[in-house]
Amino acid sequence: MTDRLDPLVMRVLDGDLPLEALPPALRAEAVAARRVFGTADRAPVALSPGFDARVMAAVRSRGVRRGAVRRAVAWLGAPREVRVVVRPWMAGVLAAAAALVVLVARPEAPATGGVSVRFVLHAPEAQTVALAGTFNQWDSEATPLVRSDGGLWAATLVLPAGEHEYAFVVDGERWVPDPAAPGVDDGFGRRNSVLTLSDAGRSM
Amino acid sequence: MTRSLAPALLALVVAPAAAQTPVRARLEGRVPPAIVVGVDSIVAAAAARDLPTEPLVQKALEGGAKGVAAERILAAVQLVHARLSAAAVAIDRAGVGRSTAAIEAGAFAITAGLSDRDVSALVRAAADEPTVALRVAATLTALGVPAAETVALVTSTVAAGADVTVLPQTVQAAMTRGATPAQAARLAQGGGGGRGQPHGPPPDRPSRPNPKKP
Repeated sequence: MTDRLDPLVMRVLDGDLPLEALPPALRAEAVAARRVFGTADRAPVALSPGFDARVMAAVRSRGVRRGAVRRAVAWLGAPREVRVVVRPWMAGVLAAAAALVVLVARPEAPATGGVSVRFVLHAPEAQTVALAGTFNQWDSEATPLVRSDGGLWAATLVLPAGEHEYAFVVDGERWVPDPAAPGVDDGFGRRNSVLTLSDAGRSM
Repeated sequence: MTRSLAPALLALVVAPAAAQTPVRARLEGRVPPAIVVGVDSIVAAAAARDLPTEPLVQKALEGGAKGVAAERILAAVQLVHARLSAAAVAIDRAGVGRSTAAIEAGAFAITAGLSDRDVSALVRAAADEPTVALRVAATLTALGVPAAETVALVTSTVAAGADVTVLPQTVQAAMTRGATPAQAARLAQGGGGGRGQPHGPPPDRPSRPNPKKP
């Protein structure tokens, strides 16, 4: 297992993707990561007595200084090296953090009347990947995806509630359903992926 | 992986479909010229019956984008029209006022594999929010859950007053742990429907590919 998890593997660990949706080359990594997390989950982390009190005392002694918001904004925009090193003892902390993210970072709809949705496809050999669907009049050039590390292509759209059918268009000619989404017959002998968004801003 | 976090927050706002644009103008150059009039007449027939028309235009545009033969596009548009009509009749049969969203959700459910009788049963069970129930049921069916289990799960969850919108993710999570779609649906139902994740160890059966997934 490498010390940096592939984003698709992380989605499997989060329960966003089934293991079968991964490219074969990544499945072993996902299985190994699951094993590590499973082992750590069964070994509760024991903190030394007074740990909470020491941490809180340190926090209170620092206080809140002026310009903290500005520094936080600068930090958000600054390029940085992000390394994810998985250690068994971190699993409990990561699990708690992941649970918090799930609770806090649900898609939201009210402000714009739409839901922010991130589409991701793992296609390391592709030269171009675009998204076509009912949300862009099936225009295979309207919504190109951006390539990032590891052959991962992604785009984020704001979509209204309702049923959306779509597919990825690889290299301008190959229509590929989303391996992470349910699918339906497109009536032309292929499959379309489906995304259903509730009025409450939730992806079903 | 070196990158700024800020661009990750950038989202593209998709403009809603140009509903006011005449159908023929939207199809020109996007579908084979021979079927523009045919699609337009199907759209007009749907409008005359108060059926949604946008799914018809979308199916034609999809066929054109995928380079499908003209007659096959026309057949697909006719099939969508038939499903919209069946969904509308099913909703009427349930005695609930129909809306464009509910008809589209019903047609989506039929496309996913439910019958018009299933649509009626779901609408009857979720008379307050039929559109949501139909969308959830369609998504479950698209995940591979058999129609009978889908209807049972959604109707029982509605009857229990629980949130049906979490059902697809609950079922998908159980499938990730190795359950078949039918098993996952039964686990979700046994675990209190939409009130939480299914409990207990994963089923003994090994993971199988979802037959409804490519």
